[in-house]
Amino acid sequence: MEIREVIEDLKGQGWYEDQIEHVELLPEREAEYGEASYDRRIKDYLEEEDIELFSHQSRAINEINNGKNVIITTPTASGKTLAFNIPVFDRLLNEPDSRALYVYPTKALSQDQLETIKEIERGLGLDLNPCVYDGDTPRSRRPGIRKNSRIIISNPYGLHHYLEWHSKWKEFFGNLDYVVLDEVHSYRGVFGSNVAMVIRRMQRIFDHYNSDPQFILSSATIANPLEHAKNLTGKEFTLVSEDHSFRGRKHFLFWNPLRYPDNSPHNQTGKLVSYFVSHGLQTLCFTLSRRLAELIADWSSGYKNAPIQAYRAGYRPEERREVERGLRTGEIRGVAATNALELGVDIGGLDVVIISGYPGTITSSWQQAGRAGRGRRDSLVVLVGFENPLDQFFLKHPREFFDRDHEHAILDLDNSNITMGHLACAATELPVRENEEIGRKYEEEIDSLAERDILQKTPAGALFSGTFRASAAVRLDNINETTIKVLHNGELLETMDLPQAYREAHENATLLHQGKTYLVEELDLEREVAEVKWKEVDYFTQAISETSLQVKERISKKRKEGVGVNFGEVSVSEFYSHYKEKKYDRVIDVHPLDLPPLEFDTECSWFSVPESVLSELERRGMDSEGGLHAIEHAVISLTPFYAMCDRWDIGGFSSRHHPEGGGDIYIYDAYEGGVGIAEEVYELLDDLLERTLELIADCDCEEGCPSCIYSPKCGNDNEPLDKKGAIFILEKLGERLGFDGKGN
Amino acid sequence: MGKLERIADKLLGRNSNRKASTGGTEDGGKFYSPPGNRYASAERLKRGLLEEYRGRDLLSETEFELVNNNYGETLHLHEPVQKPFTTPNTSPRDILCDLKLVYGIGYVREKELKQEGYSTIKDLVNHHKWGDKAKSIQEVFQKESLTDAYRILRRWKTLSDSSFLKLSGLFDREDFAIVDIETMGLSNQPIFLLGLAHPTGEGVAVHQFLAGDVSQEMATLAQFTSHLDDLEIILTYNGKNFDIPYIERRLSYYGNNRKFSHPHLDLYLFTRNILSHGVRDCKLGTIERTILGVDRDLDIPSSLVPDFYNTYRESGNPGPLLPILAHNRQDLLSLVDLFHKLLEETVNGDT
Repeated sequence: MEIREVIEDLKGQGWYEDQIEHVELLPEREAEYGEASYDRRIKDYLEEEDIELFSHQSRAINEINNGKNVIITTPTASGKTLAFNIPVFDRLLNEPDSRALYVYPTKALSQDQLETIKEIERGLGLDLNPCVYDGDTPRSRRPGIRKNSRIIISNPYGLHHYLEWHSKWKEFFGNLDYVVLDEVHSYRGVFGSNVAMVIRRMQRIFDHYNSDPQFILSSATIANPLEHAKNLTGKEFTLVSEDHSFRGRKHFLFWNPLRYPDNSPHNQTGKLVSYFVSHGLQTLCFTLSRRLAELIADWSSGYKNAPIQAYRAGYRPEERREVERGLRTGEIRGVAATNALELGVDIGGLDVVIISGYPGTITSSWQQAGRAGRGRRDSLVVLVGFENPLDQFFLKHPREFFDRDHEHAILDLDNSNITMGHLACAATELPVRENEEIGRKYEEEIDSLAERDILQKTPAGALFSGTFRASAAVRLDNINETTIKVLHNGELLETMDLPQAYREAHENATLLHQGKTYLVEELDLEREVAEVKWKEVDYFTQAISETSLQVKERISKKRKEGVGVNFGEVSVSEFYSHYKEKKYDRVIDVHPLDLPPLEFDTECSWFSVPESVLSELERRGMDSEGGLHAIEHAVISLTPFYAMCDRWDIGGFSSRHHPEGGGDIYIYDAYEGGVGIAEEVYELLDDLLERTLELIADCDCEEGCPSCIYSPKCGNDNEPLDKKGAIFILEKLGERLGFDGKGN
Repeated sequence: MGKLERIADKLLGRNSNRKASTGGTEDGGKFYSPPGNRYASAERLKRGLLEEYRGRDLLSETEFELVNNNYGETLHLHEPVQKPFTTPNTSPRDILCDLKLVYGIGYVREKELKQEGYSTIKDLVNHHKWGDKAKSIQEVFQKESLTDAYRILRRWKTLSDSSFLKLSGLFDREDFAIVDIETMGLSNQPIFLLGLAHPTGEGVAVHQFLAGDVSQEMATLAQFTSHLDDLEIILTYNGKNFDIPYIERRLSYYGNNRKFSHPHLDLYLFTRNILSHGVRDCKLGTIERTILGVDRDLDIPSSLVPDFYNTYRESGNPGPLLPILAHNRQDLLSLVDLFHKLLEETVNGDT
């Protein structure tokens, strides 16, 4: 059946109540092909495989062959991987000493890339000994890999630790011709800035061993690819962004489940999956959580003997491979997945992609949508909007979605909180020579490190003089390091980080794994193990948490006209106090939980809103809590442009105090110990609040929208929010702090 | 306090608190088990030494002398110690009786050849098939080419094989370099003390090369290296995995990519194989107490060595340095005893 007919037929289903809010038709596009030069053996290989290069691929190859650093940002499934593998293999074929380093953001992606590289290697009849080298690589295999592998695949976390052992990598680094960084859109904000510092440290090592490899980057579409590539590596780049692969027509539906209140949004997602699969369409459904991936797979009915599979992080590699293979061969007709399938995993194109819940960024949305489309056939994307203001806004304003810019990737190499740790690492690797630029000069930072005897300045440069391991003191991201092993009869079923275990592997939780339900018998935090048993129950559980924030120490404060602004150390705690037992979306029972709170200490800026302002606001019939909450969101949305970070690097909290009066808005760093963003907010608050007032007051929306007060990561589903209340508060603050939001 | 100082403090603090926080529990004991008393008494020892040596300096309290080389200033101490050092009484024949050192000869063929009357590789020199190979091997087992002989053994033997102990008997006793280093950490932190003992005349000469500060590390490494280069065979305890690669890494940190190609006897590997029976662990201290009968009175846990050194660096008070120097010296001398003990158990025991 044609996609168009399937959509018409869908409208005839008993559970159809005009949920389709919008249909966007993305026209088909003819392919353009191009020529590139490479070794005859590669030419033979491509002919053998029946591959003809699209013009964007051949352009990328030619630019790389011309010695340019290249960033490729064409969409998923446009052949990015081949475009950078051809010139790399071409070089390795002709230069027997030449090496290449591939860097992927996750271990799973590294393994996936290894398969791809091995396939090409086989096809070319080469012996390059490509290997993954990461935390899972056994110690005994490492020397052999460093010596014999001409392609090593690793990740930034590993490299961060390996660099100080560079003398063991002398041969590899000294003969390195290419560094391939894939999925670089994930290197943004604090994490990305840390990765950028790792890359600069790597560059010093290359210099030390007299190599100067070319960089090849690949990324999802972002607003500022050239700027990002330069910030990340310190080099100039050529951009390849135009996609010349062929594309069939794509139908993009906006689905509003609220029009049919009998079924929850998740339930309707399951129905959509079943419906498309039963019409012979291979379907991939993206969900917002691991649990939803399992539930949707469970709730959807499969096709003939092929059930809907789940796919998510935490699965064992062989389980993942199986699903990937099944999708490629077409044996698997439907998969419910988390964004683990959003990145470069090779699964081929699908007939239908369902995006169940707005994934938080435009970049992600298009990455996921890009999975739909195979050959010249029509394909279908369905965005199922959830019951929150942000999703609903996009459903009602499709142009805001389709015309919206992709997000910016922001990096900050001036944040001393980030750079100083890496300077200590750099000095562990090689002395930091006087006036040496590691991206830039960091004289003051080096002086301060010397002041604390972490470095010692000598004629040979600044030497590391600490007694600790610098790389162990620097974390690249804020992912919880504790891994809980889930054991079934003593065998490893899967792994998850601690917060995930709090949500999904607490005592008596139902844990879904590949369609089977397990009941957690015990979560042992000491042993970092959850013991489960297999038990089919007809309910599932959901843990309920509440966040609280406690000020530990105020480091600085300023006060102006009754508005207090503070900076200090806080402790953010998440209490998991209860869990619900649910059947579909109905709560059937609630039980208490006995778990210590998940806590982290960080730095925070907070400012107070006087009681007089809030009571007046309430007298006028507005919602003070909604007003404070809205300001919190809007401030956070603007902070990345002031403190050079990612929205996901910061957290917020607002509270209306009773009975002492007034309200507080807190902006904190989502990193243990703080990373300097909140401190920047403290310094720039007046300016930031003025921009916030402009942003909200000038926004054309009625009651709020994603451009002003809706947050894509609100723990409270964007409620309560009061746009007018926010404007009222900000105007009153402006009177005291000296701004009016009109640039005066 | 300035912002940057606060960040530097966070780096220091993050590191020391790290272990307790990653577990998500308060239980620091999971990661290390400090015999609480040893730490407390070490702390008392340090305070006592600081008190005792207040206002004094290293050069007047010890035999250390200032030395200048191409890389700057460093400290050197030389102390002759009355201590016998004997090497095994072996001849090339003891090693060459192993015909399997010849490429192509395995257990079966060796047995056949022995039955035919070829009892050493030397006998094989005129053999029509193995003669050339045998000759090239036999030739290197003499004074001038023992490094090559070591390489041939490396090809076939694990480092704890007693043939290496036998090989050591072919060296002059004055060719030995016993090496032990003290560092500010366990991976890529500076080395501040390199101990090198080598037999001379009747006894053993103990050399200690000390960096008075981190800035003197390269000069200290260079001074040590120039001594080591005059010697032929290295003897360490776990130096194959720790000391020697550590020294090489520190040299490479300063842009010097040299490697030490000396034959190397790592006594830890032999101890683990030969003496570990009934011993709690193979730490040198444990072996000393239980097997060599050495008891150190003034010793500090190795994990506190960096702290004692830093206290010296910061205060200039030589007190906290003294137990480290004594510790390092004792390690070197214990290795002599351990070497003798191992020979007794193996090579000398055979005869």
